[in-house]
Amino acid sequence: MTATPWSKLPACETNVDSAVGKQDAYPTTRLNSTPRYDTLLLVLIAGAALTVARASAAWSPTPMAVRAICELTVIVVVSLVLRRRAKSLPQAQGFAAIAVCAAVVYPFAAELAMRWFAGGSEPLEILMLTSLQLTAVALAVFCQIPRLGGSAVLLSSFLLLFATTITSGRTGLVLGGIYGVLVLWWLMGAYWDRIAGAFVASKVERRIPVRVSVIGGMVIVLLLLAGLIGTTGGAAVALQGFLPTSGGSRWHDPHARSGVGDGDAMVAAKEDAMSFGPVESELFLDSDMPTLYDVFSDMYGEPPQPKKNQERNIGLAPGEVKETEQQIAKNERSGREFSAVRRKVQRKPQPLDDRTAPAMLYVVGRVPLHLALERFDTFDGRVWTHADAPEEQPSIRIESQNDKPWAYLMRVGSSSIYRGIEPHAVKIINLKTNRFPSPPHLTAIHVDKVDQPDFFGWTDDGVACMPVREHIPQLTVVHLRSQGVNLQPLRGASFQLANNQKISERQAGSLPHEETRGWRQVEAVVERLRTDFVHDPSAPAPDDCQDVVAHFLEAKRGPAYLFATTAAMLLRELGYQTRLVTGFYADENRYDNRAAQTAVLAEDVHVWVEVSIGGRTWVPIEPTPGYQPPTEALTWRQWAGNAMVACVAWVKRNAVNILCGVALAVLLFVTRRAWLDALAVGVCRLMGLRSVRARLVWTIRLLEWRAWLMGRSRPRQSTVASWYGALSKTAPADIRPALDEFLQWTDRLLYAPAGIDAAEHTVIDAACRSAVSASTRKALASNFLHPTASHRR
Amino acid sequence: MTTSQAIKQNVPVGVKSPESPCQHQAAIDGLRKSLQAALIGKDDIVEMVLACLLARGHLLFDDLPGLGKTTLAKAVAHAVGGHFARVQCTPDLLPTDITGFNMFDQKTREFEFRRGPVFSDVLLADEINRATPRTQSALFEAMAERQVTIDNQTYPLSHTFFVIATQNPVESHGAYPLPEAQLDRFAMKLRIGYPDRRSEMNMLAANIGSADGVRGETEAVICPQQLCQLQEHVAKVSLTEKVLEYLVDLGAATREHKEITLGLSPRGLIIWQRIAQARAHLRGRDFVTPDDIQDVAGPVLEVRLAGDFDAAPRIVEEILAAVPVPVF
Repeated sequence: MTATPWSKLPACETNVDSAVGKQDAYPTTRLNSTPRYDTLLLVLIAGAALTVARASAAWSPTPMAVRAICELTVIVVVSLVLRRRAKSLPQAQGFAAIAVCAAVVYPFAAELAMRWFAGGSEPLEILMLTSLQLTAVALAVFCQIPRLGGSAVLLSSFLLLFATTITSGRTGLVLGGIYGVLVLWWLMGAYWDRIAGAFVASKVERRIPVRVSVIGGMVIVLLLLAGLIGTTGGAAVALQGFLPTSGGSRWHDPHARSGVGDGDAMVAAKEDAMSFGPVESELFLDSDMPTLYDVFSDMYGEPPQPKKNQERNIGLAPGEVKETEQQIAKNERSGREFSAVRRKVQRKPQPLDDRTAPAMLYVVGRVPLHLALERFDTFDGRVWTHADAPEEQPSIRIESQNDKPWAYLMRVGSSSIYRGIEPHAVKIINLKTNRFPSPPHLTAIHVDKVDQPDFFGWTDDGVACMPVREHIPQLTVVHLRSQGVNLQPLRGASFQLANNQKISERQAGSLPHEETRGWRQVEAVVERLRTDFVHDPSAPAPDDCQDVVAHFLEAKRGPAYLFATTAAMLLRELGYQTRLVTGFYADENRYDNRAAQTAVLAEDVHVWVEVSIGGRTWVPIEPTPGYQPPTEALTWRQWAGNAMVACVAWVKRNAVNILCGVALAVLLFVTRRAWLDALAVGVCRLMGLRSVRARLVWTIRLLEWRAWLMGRSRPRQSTVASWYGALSKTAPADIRPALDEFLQWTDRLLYAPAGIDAAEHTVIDAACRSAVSASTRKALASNFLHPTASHRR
Repeated sequence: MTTSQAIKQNVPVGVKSPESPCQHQAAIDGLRKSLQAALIGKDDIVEMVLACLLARGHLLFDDLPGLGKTTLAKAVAHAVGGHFARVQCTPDLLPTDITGFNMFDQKTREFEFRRGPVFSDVLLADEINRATPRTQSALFEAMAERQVTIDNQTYPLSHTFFVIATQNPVESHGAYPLPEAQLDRFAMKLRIGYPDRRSEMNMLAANIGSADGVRGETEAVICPQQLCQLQEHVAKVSLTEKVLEYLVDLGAATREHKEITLGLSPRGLIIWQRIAQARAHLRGRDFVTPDDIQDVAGPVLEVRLAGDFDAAPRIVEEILAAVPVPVF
């Protein structure tokens, strides 16, 4: 074990008295001993644990993580710079005090600024922990000062304890484990240094290892806690009572990280519930909620009504919401339809506000996700309607898993494209329907406490629903399981077509004929629509349009339902069985990191198409540009293949730029020594213009830079004259005297009290020039081949 | 009457006191040449001896017999034109054998002081570790104080009093090793070592024709007053603050090195500085660079860092490597 600051520094807690004497005798004690970088490493690991906690508590994790890393870097750099500038121990102590003050104050000052100007905020306990973390970093950098290193490790162990307690991920545990191992190493080092120091001093001192026992105790507690959290799955969260937390059970704090009661987090009430939220409680409450029909009308405008109905509609009072709802509820029962011809909706542009806009649903799980609510089969050129003969649906059975009732809708793994199971949870907030918002290939549904099979059923158009209820109660949490899909088998072979229609003349111009029949052809049609057509919600078909598909193909722009209608009809004309699906599109941009869920708003209503691949398996496709196609569950081989194809395509697209870039990089790399050297010589000349002294100084810097480039930097214990004196061995005879003269001038510049005489300008200039020409790459290489050999004159 | 005046008869005729730097350099070159002629093929040792002489330090040779210790000591004495004395240390040597004693004169009925060998300009104490600690102490007082006290009477020694002590590392039987604290009185410890092949051949060739096998005495190059002036001049060689800091850091590093039980004392630091000044002066500079300090680090540190004898060069390297050289 190498010598460490504990033994090198004059003061140590066991021999404070002798240290004071030494300090007085040598007031200019320099901090030249190498600091223990493992102390800094320990503190940074604890800082990483806190960064994880901060990022997981933030609205968006990436900027917060970047900010935290920047803060850590800045405090480390600032402290290092301060430490380097410190010439004596008392000065270093002063600088350390400044760094610690800045570290303590910064998080709160930054938070104030953020709340005033940016609006973002962090909870109180995170601020306190950040302050603690920055303090520990500053102390760790100044660990050569007695006791600061130990304090830094002590603070960092507290920090890690707090940070792992307030986070639930595994990262904290892993960091805690690494920290535990490292801190044991650190303690061993600290203890050995004590012993080494004691032998040197030849004194019998107090031998109770205070620091070691305190920190060791902390480590044991930490490891125990990590084990406890790891094995009991968060039982140690009970320790939160000992830590400062924001929020609570009695008030609401918008900046709080967690809390119950009026806080942002909700818990299910067992009895006597005081408030309601989308959690699995025993209470089901109804409220006024819009139906899907309302949502479509709001989003895409209402379908134009025939004139004979106009009087009756006008008779309704515009403000009577309840009456309107009743009417539409009636409409739902009496065979619904979806008009592809709608009036343009006039909407005021208003900025989107996630937190205040009422969400229709919340989705927990992977997004983007298509949630189907209704399916249409028949199209007359203007209006989609349900099929006359409802499709036969599989029966539903209830199975209990982990004491939870699950309603199974279909047999698992019944098709070759299925791959894996994907769970989602949907929290019904403002949507009024008895249909379950269904991801594609839905297999099972779970609603807490609902264990009767007759609560689950099918609508005529093939959507799972609660047939015994008018609508699913507000704030219900519905757990859904669906099959992951891998479409690769479909792309390989053609599949059974439902019917075999001929391609009409109309499509001949716009369809890719060369595609073979099968999934690739379907994808080609979808791709054509996604690339050649423009999604424009404000461009509906005219009221009197009788063939919206023809209109859309001509206009080449329109809202999502025109895309879906056109895709469905084109594919039908190619002989594929399709149907129109309406529902919601859970947008990944609305993902809320803090709540780990995605809000689905009214404007996320969407229309898409499903294609039958034989039997009763329907695969959704997304013809509208701007919406992501349903995600496939790829094997790692497919994923790698796709990535490679994408890479190759990118490289092909940018081939010229890449070639130029690579050529330039290779050229720069090959000639790096030449141009770096030329650059350095230029800088040296330029800076040397100021004075004779500057000329010498910058020539020395140039020599150092050249030696560094050669990998033969001057060792820190060698002087400039002794190290570069070796150059005169191979220097040409004509410049050797000038080189020696340069080295003498160097000595005079650096170590003579009188300095150098400006009158010697020409001599020094010649000496510098000879030094530059003598320190060529070849000369450096031949003289410094064996860097261990002594080069002293 | 001072001692230097007493031995004035040894001053060579025609040698004048050096006044200018040029004359200083000439005097030093003469000394150097004279010593190099006495100790063939050991220029680096000669440089160190010169540095020690100019820094008013005392020298300890730690070497095997027959390597030229006595020859060098004699050459130094003759070159500086001073009085040379030699003491062969044995266990029965008494302190008064070195310092001198008061003898009762029957004729004058008075005590008369008989001067010992310390009243010389160059004293060679051969095999100093064979003398008893009591006798060693008497010599050390003379070395440190440049004076001796006998029967409450204090007698000053020569201003250029220069002790060259030798000790034989092989024979430890019946020897009294010098205590670490006493070693501090010496400025440096040198090991001459065997000469190289070419030098040995030259040496043999030079001895052909010399019947007693001993070379003729070297001529005096300077006088003690000149040496005194040179020494005063060396003391004025300057050190900048960062070089001083470097020296202090090196001293601190010796105290923190794990293998050294007793680090460098402040007196040791002063001697180190003085030797480095002499080294700088020998190189024709009027300021000390870290190179000077590093070059004399080995002999200066080896005499006063208690620890493993064989590991000393390595430890010195480690100490030098531990402290970065001040550059900008």
